[in-house]
Amino acid sequence: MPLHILIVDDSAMMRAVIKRALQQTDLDIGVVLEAAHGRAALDILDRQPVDAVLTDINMPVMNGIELLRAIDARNPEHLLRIVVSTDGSTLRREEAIDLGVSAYIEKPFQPEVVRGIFDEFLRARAAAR
Amino acid sequence: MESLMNSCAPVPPRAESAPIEQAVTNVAERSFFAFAEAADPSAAAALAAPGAPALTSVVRFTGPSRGEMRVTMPVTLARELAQQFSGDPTLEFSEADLIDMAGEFANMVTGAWLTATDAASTFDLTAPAVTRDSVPPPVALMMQINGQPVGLSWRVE
Repeated sequence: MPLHILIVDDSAMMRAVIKRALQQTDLDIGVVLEAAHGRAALDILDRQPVDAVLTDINMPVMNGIELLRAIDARNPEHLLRIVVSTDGSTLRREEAIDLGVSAYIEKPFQPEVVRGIFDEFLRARAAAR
Repeated sequence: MESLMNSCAPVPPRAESAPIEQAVTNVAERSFFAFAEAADPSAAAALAAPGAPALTSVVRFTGPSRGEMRVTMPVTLARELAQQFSGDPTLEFSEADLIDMAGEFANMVTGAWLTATDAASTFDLTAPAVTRDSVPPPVALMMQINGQPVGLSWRVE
């Protein structure tokens, strides 16, 4: 089954780079959706189920932590949540993990890191079946 | 304690500028596959000139301390970084793309610097405010990325 993915970042360039990193893998990628902030991401999630959300932290309107709190409140069992942020502080990482984040990618990052995280997610998903 | 770096201020102590230099180097090498190195302060004059504008990105931060980071680069370097970042040297980029790129670079440098200097604390960063300059802005630290000048100044309260 293809993976439907939502990328949330206020930088269009960063969204494009993450999308490209995903497309360079041999993962079966389905729809890739984009949002410039958390509020827009929630609007998309209301309409379109996705398998994974990759979100920045520092964004206007609604930041990544607020978005993760809103997602967590919906209790999504199988939604992979990944943070991609310049904020590499231990407190922020712990806060994100408490909100159900499986991986925390610090910018700048290598595209292979994204691939590794999705490989692990797919293995875990297959094992759960 | 407050420090304000500008062209009239003395050169910042090495202990203050070294983490920023390292942050620029890490960001340039890891995300842009570009080579960064320290440059002579006189290179600031080449940052912006009539016909060769530069982009200055300001990222403000709040947390245990507050302040701002300013990163200035020629538009030509922003374009080169965008090509490196996208992984496609043939792509054409709009003015908005280059502003986005310059801002994201400053965002990464600020985040890398703050994380390196105080990894136990969290900081909130504003979205980068990017302006186009036609005169060289004041800088406290000059570097080069792929041979092109990059100027930085910062303020910490």
